[in-house]
Amino acid sequence: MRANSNSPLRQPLALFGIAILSIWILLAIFAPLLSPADPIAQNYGQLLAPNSHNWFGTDSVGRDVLSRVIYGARITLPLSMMLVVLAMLVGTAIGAIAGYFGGWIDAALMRFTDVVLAFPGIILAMAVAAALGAELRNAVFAVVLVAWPTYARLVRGLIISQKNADYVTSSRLLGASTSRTLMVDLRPNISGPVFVLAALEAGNGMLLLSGLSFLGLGARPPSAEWGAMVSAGANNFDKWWLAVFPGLAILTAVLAFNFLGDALRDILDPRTAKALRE
Amino acid sequence: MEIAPILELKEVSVTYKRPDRSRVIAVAGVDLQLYPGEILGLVGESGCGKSTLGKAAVGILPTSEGEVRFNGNVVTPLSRSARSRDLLRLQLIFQDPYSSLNPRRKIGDQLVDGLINSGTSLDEARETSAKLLERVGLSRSTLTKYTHQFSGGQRQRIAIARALTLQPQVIIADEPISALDASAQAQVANLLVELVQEFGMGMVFISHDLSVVRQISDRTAVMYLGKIVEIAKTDQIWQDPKHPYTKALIQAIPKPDGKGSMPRELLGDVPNPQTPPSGCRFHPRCPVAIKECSQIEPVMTITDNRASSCLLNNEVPNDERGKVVS
Amino acid sequence: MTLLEVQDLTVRLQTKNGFATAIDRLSFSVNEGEILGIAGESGSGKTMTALTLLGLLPPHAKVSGSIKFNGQELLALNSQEWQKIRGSKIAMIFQDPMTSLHPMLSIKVQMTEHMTTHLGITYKEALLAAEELLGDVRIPDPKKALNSYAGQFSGGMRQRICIAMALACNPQLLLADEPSTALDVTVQAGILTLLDRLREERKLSIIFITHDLGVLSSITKKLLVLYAGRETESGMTSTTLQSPRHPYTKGLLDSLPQPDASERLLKSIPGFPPELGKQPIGCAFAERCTYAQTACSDHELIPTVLADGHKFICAVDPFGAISQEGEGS
Repeated sequence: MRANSNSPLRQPLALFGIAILSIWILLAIFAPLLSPADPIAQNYGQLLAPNSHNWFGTDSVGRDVLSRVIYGARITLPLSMMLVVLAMLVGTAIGAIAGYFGGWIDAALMRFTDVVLAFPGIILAMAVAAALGAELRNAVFAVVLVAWPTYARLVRGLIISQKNADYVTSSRLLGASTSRTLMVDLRPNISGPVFVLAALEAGNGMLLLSGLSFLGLGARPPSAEWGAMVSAGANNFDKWWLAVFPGLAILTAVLAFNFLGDALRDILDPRTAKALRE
Repeated sequence: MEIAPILELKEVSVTYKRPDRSRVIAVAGVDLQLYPGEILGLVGESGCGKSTLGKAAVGILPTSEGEVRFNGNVVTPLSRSARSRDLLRLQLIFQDPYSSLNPRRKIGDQLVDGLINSGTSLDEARETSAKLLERVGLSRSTLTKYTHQFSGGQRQRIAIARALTLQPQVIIADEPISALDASAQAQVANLLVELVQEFGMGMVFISHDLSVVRQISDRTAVMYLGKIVEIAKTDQIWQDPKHPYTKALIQAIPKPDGKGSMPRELLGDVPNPQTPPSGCRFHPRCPVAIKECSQIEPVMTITDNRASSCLLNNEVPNDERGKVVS
Repeated sequence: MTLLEVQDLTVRLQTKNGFATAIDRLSFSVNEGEILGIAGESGSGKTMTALTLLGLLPPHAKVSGSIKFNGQELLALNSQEWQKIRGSKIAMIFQDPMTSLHPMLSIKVQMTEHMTTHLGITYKEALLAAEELLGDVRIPDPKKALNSYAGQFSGGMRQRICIAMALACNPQLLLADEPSTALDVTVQAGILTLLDRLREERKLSIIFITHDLGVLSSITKKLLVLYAGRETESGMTSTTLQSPRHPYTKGLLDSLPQPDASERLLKSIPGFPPELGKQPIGCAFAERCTYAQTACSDHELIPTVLADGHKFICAVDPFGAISQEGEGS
């Protein structure tokens, strides 16, 4: 794949994004080695401000916040990525079928998509998570349900724009079936914009997931999930370290995904930027 | 014994639906036969429907009336199901070499498509593709490259190689050289001529470039506003054109002989295909039109294995299609 | 009366690999009411020549030589002075009439704006003049056409409108860059007839740039053949096409479809025209020429000028003997 020249403005940010994400991934993988303490061990004094033992302080039951932030990456990062992949797969499938077959299939699927999109994301996610029961697994499901329509819209538009292209027609003249046309001919031409959307949406997904945990609809204690930690911090507002550090963790991770997404969009052809605007 | 045509169009009409729901009849009742081993040139100016006819002939567009038969099989238009096996040896070369190949797949992967779909093994398919690439003048290394690494002329050759993988009996070439620069045009046109001779294929060569069609086609059909107005051996068309539109076309071609003669212009504009003129479609612009021309629609008169549709030529009517009438 | 006199025009453009010569020591002239044809393929420098005559080269371009228009040296003009010449004394029409007209503005707006700016007349006067111009170029129902938009016209009609706009300020020189290439052959014939008539009626000089030798043969009086930014042959159109002396010209003529050919294959000049780059010392065409000898690439070539002004730059002159017999009669 040939790369277009990246504008100099974007490049440092992309590198920054990759760096931040790499740090978090490494922290997540090597958490047991890098973390100073056990995230659920209530060994320390309660609500201690950041000091030489606990760089990020301790929480209301005496757990080391730094360790919990590090271990939190093990929850938030894989779940966010999984949620993005699921939303992408579901949305792409629906969008591709709607776009390729057209007619009433398209109309039906798109009306359904419109209905889901009509709800503000967090509200719908809350409703679903609450209905299913407050568990991290259900929170992920809820966010996937909220996130897939954007992919469907994008993929449908891309498929419609490409399905009558000469290269598709010439493949069909050579005997390609519908599935072959979709998977072999069209897929490579739509995957670029879809991946860019995924990278940009990853941050969003992570925020929604953390948001649900913040509201008590996701991770349960003693789980060291960042959103839940921020929620606990909101109750003890003067103990600023309880919310700020996990909050910064969320901030940096989401920013990193966004920078990455921007860079990806610049690398792939400009068609992507246009497609995302529709 | 008469050879049967390998591609036959019987009273084919093709209709478009405009965004405002109105209908445009792009092709209005065309009869055409293509025989194995011949190059049939299809010429006409913008809006005459020649590209539409080519697409209907190969099955990309549905016919609203009439039928197309390839080797006796009805050519059904492309639909959700895969193309019928009977039709795989009927192929099309597109006009735009920049959009007829997938920009995101390796050339080699695209070339083996047809053979894979027909059940050939991957190794065999690759070997056949490599040989075809060499036949069209490109090296084997092309297989691993992407389309953006090639020029327009090279891309067109790749497209031709791809169409050849299924050993086509008929190739519809829809303006195959119009988008190429001058040097590439001659090279690609020559390649097509050689391939027709080598493989005994039939080819419909659609073009607005009358001079190229004159050189390479055995027979030529002239289209105007959705109808074929004249069809004959190429030499006959040029030396003794029968239809006034054919004559106007020929006279409009500037000659590079240095004699400074101005080409003759044809007054008027092509009418809107939604509201074609009554009677003979050409009559408003025809220099020799008579009163009846606006009232009676002429039929193709076949004499001496050539046909034209002009009332002034209807001295001897045809009684059976295809039969030479003296 | 010489309207335009170009001497030793050289244009060099900045590329990634340094400066490349787009036009190399080009000289030609155009008289009043005369049509000069410039023949060339893509990369020959033909469009660059037109842009130079309008002062539309990129700012980093290096230009040398002389372009005298009505005695005035164009290469010495500043941008304000160019504004007075461009569009009014020297006008241009392009290949693609689809993109030459604004799709969102009505024809009357486009035409009158042009005229009120350059001629200092009122809108009402411009409107009348526009109507007359559209009639001149044989647009049916000019009043209705003025209120229409570009998208409502066919390619040929749009080109006629472009010609009308180009004529709005009564230019002395019209540059036409492949004006009929994108049009159907019958429509092209109409445009050529129109241009010839305008030349006669208005004493309009035209530089007609195209690769189509048939078109050049019909409408031009003088011909200049360009290859890789250099002149290869020039002279009266009739002589140049009937008795070409340069192998490139002959190659171009041979590569046209031959009406009486016994075989179906087209002839073509092997290889491809060179890309913009450094100019070779000798003949730029040598690498593709069937008659080339070592002398062709060794040293600078000297033009040969014949009695009637027919000029060609070829060291070998392979058609000399044949042509001389023909030209004598």
